Amino acid sequence: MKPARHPAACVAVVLLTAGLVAATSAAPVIEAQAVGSIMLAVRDDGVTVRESYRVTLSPTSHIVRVPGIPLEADLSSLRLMDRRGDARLENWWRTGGADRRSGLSATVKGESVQLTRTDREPGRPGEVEIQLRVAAGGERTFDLVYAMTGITWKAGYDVLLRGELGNVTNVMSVDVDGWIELVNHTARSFSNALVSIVGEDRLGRTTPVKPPGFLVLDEDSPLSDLWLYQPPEKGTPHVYALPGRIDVPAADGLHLSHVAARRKPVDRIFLVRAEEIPTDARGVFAHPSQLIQFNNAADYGGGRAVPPGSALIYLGSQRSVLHQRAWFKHTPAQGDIRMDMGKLEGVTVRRIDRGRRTVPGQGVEQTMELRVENTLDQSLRLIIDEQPPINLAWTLLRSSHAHERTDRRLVFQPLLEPRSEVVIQYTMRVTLPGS
Amino acid sequence: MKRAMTQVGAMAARWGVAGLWMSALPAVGQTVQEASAPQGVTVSIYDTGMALISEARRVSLAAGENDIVMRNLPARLDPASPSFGSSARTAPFDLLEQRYHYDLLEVDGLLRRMAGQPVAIPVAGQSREGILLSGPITGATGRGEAFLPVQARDGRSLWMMDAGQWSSISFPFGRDLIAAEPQLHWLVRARQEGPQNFRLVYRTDGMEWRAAYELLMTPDSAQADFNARVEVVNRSGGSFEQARVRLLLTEKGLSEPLVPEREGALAGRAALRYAYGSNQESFERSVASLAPVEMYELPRTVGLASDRSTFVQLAQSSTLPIQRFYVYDGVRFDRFQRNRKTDWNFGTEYHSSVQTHVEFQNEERFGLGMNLPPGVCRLYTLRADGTVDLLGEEQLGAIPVGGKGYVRVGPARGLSGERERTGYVEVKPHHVYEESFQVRLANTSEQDVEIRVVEHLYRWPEYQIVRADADYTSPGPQRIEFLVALKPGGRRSINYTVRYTW
Repeated sequence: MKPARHPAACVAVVLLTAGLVAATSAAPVIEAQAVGSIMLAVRDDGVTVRESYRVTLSPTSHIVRVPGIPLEADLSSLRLMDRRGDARLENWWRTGGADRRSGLSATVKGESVQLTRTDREPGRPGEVEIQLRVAAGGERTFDLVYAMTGITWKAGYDVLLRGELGNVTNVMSVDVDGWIELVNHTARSFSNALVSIVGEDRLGRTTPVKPPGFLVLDEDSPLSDLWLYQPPEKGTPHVYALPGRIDVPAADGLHLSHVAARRKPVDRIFLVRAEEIPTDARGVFAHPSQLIQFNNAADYGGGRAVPPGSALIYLGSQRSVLHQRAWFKHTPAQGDIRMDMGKLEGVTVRRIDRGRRTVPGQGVEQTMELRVENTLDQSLRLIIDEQPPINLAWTLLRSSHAHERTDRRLVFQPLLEPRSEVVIQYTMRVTLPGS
Repeated sequence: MKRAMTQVGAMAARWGVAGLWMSALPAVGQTVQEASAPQGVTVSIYDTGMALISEARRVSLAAGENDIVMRNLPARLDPASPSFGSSARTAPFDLLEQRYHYDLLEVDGLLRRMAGQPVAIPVAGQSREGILLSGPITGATGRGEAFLPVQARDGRSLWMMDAGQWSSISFPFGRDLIAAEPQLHWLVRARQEGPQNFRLVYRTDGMEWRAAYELLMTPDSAQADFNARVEVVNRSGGSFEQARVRLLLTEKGLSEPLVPEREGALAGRAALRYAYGSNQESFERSVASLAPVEMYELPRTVGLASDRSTFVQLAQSSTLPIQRFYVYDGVRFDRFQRNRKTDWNFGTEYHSSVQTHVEFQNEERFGLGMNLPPGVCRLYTLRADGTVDLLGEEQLGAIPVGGKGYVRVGPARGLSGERERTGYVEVKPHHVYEESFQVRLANTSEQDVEIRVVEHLYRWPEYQIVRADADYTSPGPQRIEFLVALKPGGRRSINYTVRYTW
């Protein structure tokens, strides 16, 4: 049998509960002080901020007001990193009117009512309050990490190519200036910050949005010739730590120099890829590309990887000709940077299919021929990155020239004498499925 | 009450508007009893944007009919929804009539209701005083502007105030005419005199919740720092102190993504299904049930202030064991989809990225051990210099206690794949086809890796692997998986032939 509860006891419980509720909701708010440096990891679509705060606490639960977290911060990403390890983040919210939606407020004075439109009030940034639970009180320092939008970066390169591009034996050099532009669109400045930029190599492409066209048909229709749009695969992001500490001003941008190279010698490479070479017995041909290559040595990127960015390439010491706009890919330290300077008109490459023949007991053999003609007065070494145009399994039987093989590609590097022709022939055994 | 009305009448007479006042809240009961502020509040927030509130109230009643007024209510309360419950064997009273009053939700409606009342509107530093003749009236220009007609106190002038421009407006005798805070009035019949406890239950709009997860990994570590949190958005126009909060997943809420955002000809095409007893298919969203599929209760009471997003930590583990693995699922479909079964080119395109995945277990011994709702999971890495870098985000499905969570981290550094179709034969046209593939993997990283190579046999469910130069498993329909070990700098290729029959 349950003991009867006295009504006065119930009232006392209710009053006590109400008192506790009132005490919690009326708990004093402690101001946190920002200390130490700020770390920013800036991506092309946002930034991750880590900053330190100091606060003096007594044991149990506290509400701490944290200044300076911008409106652009995504509070669902807020993370507390406590050096002692016993502080736990319980709840958090943004104070102020930033979230305000209702349109009218009323003030009563005597018999009078004044209505005020609250949607006309300017938005206030407010501050973030966090409810912490700690095992022990005292002064302590903790870090807050959050993701936000509003800070962007991009890299740019200014390249001056010295020498004569039309003469394949001419020795050339480059001057390169590289800049990283940081733009802070928020109303918060970040002083004395350690900044790193993070980005994948998109080869200068912006994320494409496929416009609706006549090919976008009902996917259930048997007549649809549907080209399903798929966004490009995400690449592996690279991290570039910027040297020193940086002041990132509010609502402003800054340019930081990260490459300054003068008269840096370059290599010249002549390359043709299999995908460019037509397979035809008639006189259809491809020209090789002329590439300028130099190394990301200490005199270029200071021994660090350099980020991808757009490049303006000028010719002539007076920058008299803007040769082209290009894209510099991510280049690790000691990696090579290549600039495609266009086609080399004096050299032609074509591929001729010499046909298949069935060898009794040994399957089918197929022969391909590459004909390379040099009409220039200078000799040069050409790199041919060949892939046999066959969509079946094959094994190489013989080749007229030395080559390197990687998977299904063959790389030939013939020396082209002035005004001469080189013929490369190779034969494969082709395997048919089920044979 | 009578005395107050006499005073208002006298003041109104000085404004020359005797007889124009009215009462917004006419008394409906014998006496007006103020119910206590809510206590023991439980807020059940549905994934459709509404919430069910249950709260304890106390009121002293006289025997017979009473008019109860309840305050501390949200502005977006559904006036048709309030009801009450009691722990007593018999109900403490009978509810005869109920009305909900709140005037600040809709400005134009309020102004229309206040027509005929004295008004003061500040304009250019001066107060224009007179009688509001009507609510906003549309101008004759057809440009959509609206005006408030105000007759000056002397009765000789008529001002047409721009209804869109005022920032404040005063009604000198409006206190009893305007419900400036949400009020619920009940006319009840009490069986006996004395204090009564009851539980008020009502529905309100403007409440949402979403879960978010944070996984902070340190390179090469087998443990991660995991945080689960919930954002509770309160735009109901009311505050809830120390509330127990329940988060509900419903079939209706879950069916929302079945109406995807699409472009072009497919835009806005909603999913359909049959409701029992109906011969006509209906929109899935309208047929789906609001019954909870899953409920998650926050671990402690929470204060939900008005117009605020409150973030609540659900679970946290700083030493959550994780397992990384790599997957190469190389096929991609872009073109050549006219006839998937027999198109010579179908499935010949590929991408080269090998993806890193992370797997963890939702168990109490790792600091979790509660059902985790679906939400966005953000992945971070902690670098040696202390910088925290966001790797990406991924939708995480619901993870029950004891279940496993899978998150795709992104492309693996130094691992790449290629997938090439090396043969295609119509053994018996339109009945038997054979197709051969070579999958090549390269590891330019500095660690030993194992890559799960996933191959989909997408042409037809009836298939046979007639040749494969590596062992494989079949973890699902029309899917085979190879496990390939690669040393640093290693390369490996896999060849297989599949025969489809139909």
